[in-house]
Amino acid sequence: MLPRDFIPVLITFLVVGGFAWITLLATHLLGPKRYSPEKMDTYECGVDYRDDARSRFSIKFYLVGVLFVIFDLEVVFMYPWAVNFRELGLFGFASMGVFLVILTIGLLYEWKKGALEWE
Amino acid sequence: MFEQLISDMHVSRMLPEILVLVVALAAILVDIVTPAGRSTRPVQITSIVGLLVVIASTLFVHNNGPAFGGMVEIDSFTIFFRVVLTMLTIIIMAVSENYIQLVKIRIAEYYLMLLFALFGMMLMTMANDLLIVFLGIETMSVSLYALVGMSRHRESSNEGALKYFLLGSFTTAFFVYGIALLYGAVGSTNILDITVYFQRTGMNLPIIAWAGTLLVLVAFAFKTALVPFHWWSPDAYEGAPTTITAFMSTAPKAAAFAAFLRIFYVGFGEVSDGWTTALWWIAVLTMTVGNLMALRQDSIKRMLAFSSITHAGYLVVAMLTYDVIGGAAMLFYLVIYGFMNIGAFLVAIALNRNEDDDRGYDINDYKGLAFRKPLIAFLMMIFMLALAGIPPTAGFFGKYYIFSAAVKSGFIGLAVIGVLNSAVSVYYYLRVVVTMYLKERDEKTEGRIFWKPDMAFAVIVCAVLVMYFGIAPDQLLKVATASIGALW
Repeated sequence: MLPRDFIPVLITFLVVGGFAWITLLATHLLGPKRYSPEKMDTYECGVDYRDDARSRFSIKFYLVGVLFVIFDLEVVFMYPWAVNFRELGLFGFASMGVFLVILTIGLLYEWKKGALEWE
Repeated sequence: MFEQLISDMHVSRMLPEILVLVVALAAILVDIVTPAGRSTRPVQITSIVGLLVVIASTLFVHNNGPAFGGMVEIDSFTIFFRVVLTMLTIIIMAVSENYIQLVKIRIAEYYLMLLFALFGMMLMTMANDLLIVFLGIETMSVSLYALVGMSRHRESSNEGALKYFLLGSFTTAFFVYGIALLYGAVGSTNILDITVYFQRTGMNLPIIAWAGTLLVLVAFAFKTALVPFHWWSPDAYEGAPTTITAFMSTAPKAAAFAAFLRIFYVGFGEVSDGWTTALWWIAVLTMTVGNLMALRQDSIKRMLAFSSITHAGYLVVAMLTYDVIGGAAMLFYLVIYGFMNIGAFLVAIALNRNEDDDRGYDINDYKGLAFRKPLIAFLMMIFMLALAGIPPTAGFFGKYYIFSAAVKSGFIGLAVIGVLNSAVSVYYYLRVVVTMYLKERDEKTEGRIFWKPDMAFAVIVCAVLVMYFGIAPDQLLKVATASIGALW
């Protein structure tokens, strides 16, 4: 009953799932086991992972997160653009220029509003 | 192939939208160079002048047709809403500077958010693809969430913003799911492709397409605050700064109805028997519930919030006729409703005793206003009569066109319910007039009156337009008929 067009999606699911299981299984069987409290943490990131969800943390983390996402995505857009730079020609150059101008004004705004100051 | 793509874009057809973005960016730059803590007047002037240029470019540069490969469609329907939405935004911006200073939210972001909201609304009115509608709705809504919560120090503002945000994002999920289901059935999100699909199937749709249509309907019912999806609106309207309440109850509602019209008239036109039945019930519920709730309010702001639900009900009556007459009546009503509602809200601002006080908009403050401030009382009377639909104001013709369109299309029962509701609404509108003209002045309830030149100017412009369209409605109706004609 499955539409034939979706078979690649199914195969992707199987490959992804298989890869995950095989990796888990392989590391479980092959890896050496030396335990320490930090290592047994869910995420080895240095932050206590079980805490009150209502605790307050600095708004700066949020701002840095947003800034990261914006400039991260900017680069994601620029890679395919750079690869096709020749074919896109002047139009592509102008489009990216407009995009960068908008982002730069955003950056100026953040700067002026003090979003980049940690202290 | 790439040259073909570029020539199909027709970027210049979206000139007004591009200009709105340029104005927003310019306003950001103006804000950056103004020293912190200073007046936001430069930002306001930049925005208003820029928007006047936007209106001029809409009216004088004619370049209609599809743009961005058919994702958006620029036609007389789009142009109609471009002009109306920009005008409403300009009115709100013009009165805002003194008001935001009064309620201590004088920050430039107020204007920037309005500009971004305007951009989203313009996108919605031209969108010819469900994904662009989604993009427009989100651009508009995210700006509105922030605007509602702008009075940070006031609890009701935070409450309204949070409720609006939570329910709004929930509705967005409905909308996206509806798009996904329709895509599953049709294989495209373009409205014209959906039309072709429905022409092929007729009313004999697979369940997945019905579900998609229904979910899209629910999302629009939420955005236009139709019963039973109206629960967010009284709290959001009450919590928002009052200029924003005036804005939200008019411009975003008009934009949502524009996208609603285009999707359902063009895209789902072939299955109109299905959705008009749903809208019939929604219209009856919306008119009645909005009215019954408005009857009980002692706060002018809340009364206007509930009455705007009722007016959305009248608009749905016009919409479900699904013909040119009804559509034109709807556009006509959207315009005049915008002016009379903004006017009424601005008078409410003028008499607002204390923004931070829940009883700041009490109707008792209007006692004997006609003897204290005859001009303000007279203007408020015009808006109240217009909202109630009493001649010679434009409100009368608005309702007349809507209900006569409903009768012509055979919705006689609905028209009767609508007229009865309209009669009920006269009670709470005339109650304000009676309080102003027939009650004794009461020194205890008399507060200061916030009546600045910019406010007076905007209110008088609204009142003049409401009277003008009441005496000479033909012109506007002709324009509205030509605009809705673009959807056929």
